[in-house]
Amino acid sequence: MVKASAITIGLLYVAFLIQSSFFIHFPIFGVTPNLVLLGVLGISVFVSEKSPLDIIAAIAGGTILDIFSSSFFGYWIGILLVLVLIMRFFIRKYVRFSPFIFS
Amino acid sequence: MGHFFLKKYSASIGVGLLLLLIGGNVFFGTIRDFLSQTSLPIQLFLWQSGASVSRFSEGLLYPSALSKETQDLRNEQTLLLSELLTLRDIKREHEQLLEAIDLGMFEEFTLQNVKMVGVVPGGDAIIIGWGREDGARPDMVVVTSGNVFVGIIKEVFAQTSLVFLSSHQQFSLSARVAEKNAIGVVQGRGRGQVSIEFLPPDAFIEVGDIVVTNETKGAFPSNLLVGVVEETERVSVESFQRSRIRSLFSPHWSELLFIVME
Repeated sequence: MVKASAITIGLLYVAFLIQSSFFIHFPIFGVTPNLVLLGVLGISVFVSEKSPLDIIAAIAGGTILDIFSSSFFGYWIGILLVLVLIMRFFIRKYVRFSPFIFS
Repeated sequence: MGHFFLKKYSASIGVGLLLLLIGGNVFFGTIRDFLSQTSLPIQLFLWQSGASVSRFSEGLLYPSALSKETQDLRNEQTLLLSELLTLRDIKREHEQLLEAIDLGMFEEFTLQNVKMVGVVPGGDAIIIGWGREDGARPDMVVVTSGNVFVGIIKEVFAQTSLVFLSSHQQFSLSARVAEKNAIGVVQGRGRGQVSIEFLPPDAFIEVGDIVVTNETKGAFPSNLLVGVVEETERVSVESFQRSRIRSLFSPHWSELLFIVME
């Protein structure tokens, strides 16, 4: 779990750097994709229900966004945590994965 | 079963989150200083790579649009040249007038060139590679080479600074509709939206009018280009007017910026 968390945090940091300094040159309809947000949502979809990796990703991603953004510390952590919990709720209630994958 | 993880990890996640929020707020400056210092070279590299790839791909993907743009620019250049000639005459007359009434020269400002290294989520603030160690201070003005107003430095870190653009929700600035000489307040609306508020009710503001800065305090030059009026709104005859403006600065195009020094 510690190794997976460390890799996730590292990848989210790299995603933030790419989002803020590279993808800004390629806006889609004037908007640059928030890779950290997409990454955290992706993790929450594919991670096992029993694993807290999506919560850790939300806290880490939120911290990275808060550190570099102009809003108060805790703004993005709150947004990402709420989104992950909503995703958890919907996936548990309405989505059923095959038992042969994502064990 | 669905809440299994919460039972097992909820206490540690809760305590960790609380510690992070307290620690984050207490050591915010130190954490930001450290991360901005370590990520500055990577951000600079990514920014330059992005700019190069963007320029290359634009020419490759839209060759017809590029040739049309070149033609439009050529036409515009011809028009601008004729306007330049007229303006030179006006400038000469203006200088003669200044000499005649002994007003002296305009106050001049020195400029420090800086590189942009990133855009924060939401797009209403940018990060520049020029921080406390280089002499950055809050409230310094950032402009482009074409005298376009970019924003104001709000937070300063060791090697980088956070600049609020005119579209930032916490941004407000005294400005003037140049042709109409109507003074108002430029107010950021967030998500790239900017408006000019409190314009006099009798001013006849039109779409296409240019908005410039009107500040006179400290190291704040007036007549910097802020934006162009896109939409006007008049609630009633007595009330102030409000206009939505399009900022002339876009973080997608710019690379080299300038800080106005005292």
